[in-house]
Amino acid sequence: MHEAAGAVHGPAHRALARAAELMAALGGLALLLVMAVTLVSVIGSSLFGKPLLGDTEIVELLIGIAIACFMPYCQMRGANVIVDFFTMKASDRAKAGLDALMTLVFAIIVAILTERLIQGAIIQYERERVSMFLRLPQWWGYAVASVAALVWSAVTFFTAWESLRRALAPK
Amino acid sequence: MNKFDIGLWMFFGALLIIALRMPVGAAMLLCGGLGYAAVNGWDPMFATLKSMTFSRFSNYTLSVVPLFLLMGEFATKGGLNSALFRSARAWFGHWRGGLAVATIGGCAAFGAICGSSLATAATMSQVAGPEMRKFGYSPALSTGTLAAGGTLGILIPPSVILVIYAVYTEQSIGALFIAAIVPGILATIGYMIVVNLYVRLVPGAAQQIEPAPWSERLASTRDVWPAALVFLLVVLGIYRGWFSPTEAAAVGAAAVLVIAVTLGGMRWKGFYQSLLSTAETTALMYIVLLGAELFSAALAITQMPTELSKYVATLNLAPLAVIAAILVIYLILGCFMESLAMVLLTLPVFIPLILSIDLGMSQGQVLVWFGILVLVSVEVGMISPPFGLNLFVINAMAKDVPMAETYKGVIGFCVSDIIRLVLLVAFPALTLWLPGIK
Repeated sequence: MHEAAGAVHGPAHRALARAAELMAALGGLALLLVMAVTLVSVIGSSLFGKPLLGDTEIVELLIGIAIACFMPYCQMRGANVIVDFFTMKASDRAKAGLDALMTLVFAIIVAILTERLIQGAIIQYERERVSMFLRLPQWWGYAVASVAALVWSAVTFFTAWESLRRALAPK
Repeated sequence: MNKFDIGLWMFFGALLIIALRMPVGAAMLLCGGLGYAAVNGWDPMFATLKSMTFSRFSNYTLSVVPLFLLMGEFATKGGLNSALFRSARAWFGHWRGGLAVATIGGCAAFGAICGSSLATAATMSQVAGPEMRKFGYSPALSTGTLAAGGTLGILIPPSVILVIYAVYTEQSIGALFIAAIVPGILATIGYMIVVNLYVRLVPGAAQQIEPAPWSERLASTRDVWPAALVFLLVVLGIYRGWFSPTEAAAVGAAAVLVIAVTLGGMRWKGFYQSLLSTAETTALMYIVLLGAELFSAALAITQMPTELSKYVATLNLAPLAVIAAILVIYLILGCFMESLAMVLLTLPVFIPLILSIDLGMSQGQVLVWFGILVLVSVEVGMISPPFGLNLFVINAMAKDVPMAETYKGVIGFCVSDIIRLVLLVAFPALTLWLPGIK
């Protein structure tokens, strides 16, 4: 896990950290809505024999948005799963250098995923795809996820840059 | 380069860059993407990516995972850990090594409403750690107990790893949860025996304390029943088909939220922190899940796993030798790799392999049994010295305890884990009897 400790918290850092936390809170709200919708459906079907029609469609839409919104926060907190066993003996500078390189590759992957997601959103919009029961337009979820993914890309490039700065910083 | 070689390159390439600090999910995305492009071409690979991300994130069955994580966070921030430990202490505290036994009991109970090992270890050490120190428990015994007790978090259902295993192998989540109950009870009893032996063998490792009066035992139990009810509702509810797993997780999370606010005094700050922690843990899991999606699809089209199983079949090995070899690989990997990442990286290769050998069981039985074996061996990896993750978490929280002490304290628990693993391999009925899988 890369430590952000000792880093200079410039305005870019503060703005991205705030954006990431805001997205995470929005995602949390979406997750709470998933919980609420599912509860209403369970209560409806067990008490009145009537589940909420198309509840799974609402859950799918909201959970997709929630997960996408969680991504920038995880990256900002440096919480990704990494294996540091083989580099334990390396110097801090070497570790920061490796982190910079690997996070840069990751950032490029995230940027590609983001571009593909946006293309996906455009296709869903043009083809007017809707869900089966509620006829929810499929592009809604893709569009919100695309915004989250843009923030995710920005945060990932930023964390790569932070690692690079730590690698090059004078002792 | 033929397809088999591409598959091998993908697998070992991923391991190499993971060793060089590439985030695990990113490594799987990179090697999966390159492998996919090498076999099927770049255009089909890029076309897949258009829908892959959102369809993985919006998968209905997987939504169980964030909901269970939310439930665990509410339980943690709502102070359910201290209620559970208080009750276990009132009942077991006066036993030989009673506080350590109570810690194991508290961990088992907390594991029944939380699906993560690190979270269980960390939260229980906040309440049980200081208590054990106060009564003169040796640092080795107390940190070892906490690290081992934490693994009950993933073993005792609900378990996030089991949910993901179930989705991956298309098995019933309910059946896997029920299958984990007997191994979970065995683990709890085994750990309690280890504590007892430790206190007998190492004089002065633990002080004796006075038995709690019956009034206190009963009073402390009153604070525990809501958690017990939630566990029964969730696990039985899924198994008996009252709820789908997503519904059960939503009901469980809402119920624990109510308990946390009414009994645990959780307020806005704790609630907001629960959401943020859930966001972080969920995201790190889904990055690995996303990577695994592309990685396993790419591995499947290289046909490396099926070729490998055909090759292993020609060796005419005893089926149990294959299982033993796989479990040893997990034990080794578990020493330095996060459990979910390790499972998702290896399942695409191991599942075709174990399905190709004849174990004299139906496919459903093999997959459930193997799932529990994987879970247990992953869990051993988390506490085996020198690199078990739980050891580091516990040691970071008990700052004055040298790592060597924690290693000393945890050895006994590792031995009990290995014995249990051997028992589960030798007697599949221990796993399969309760869910009654045909």
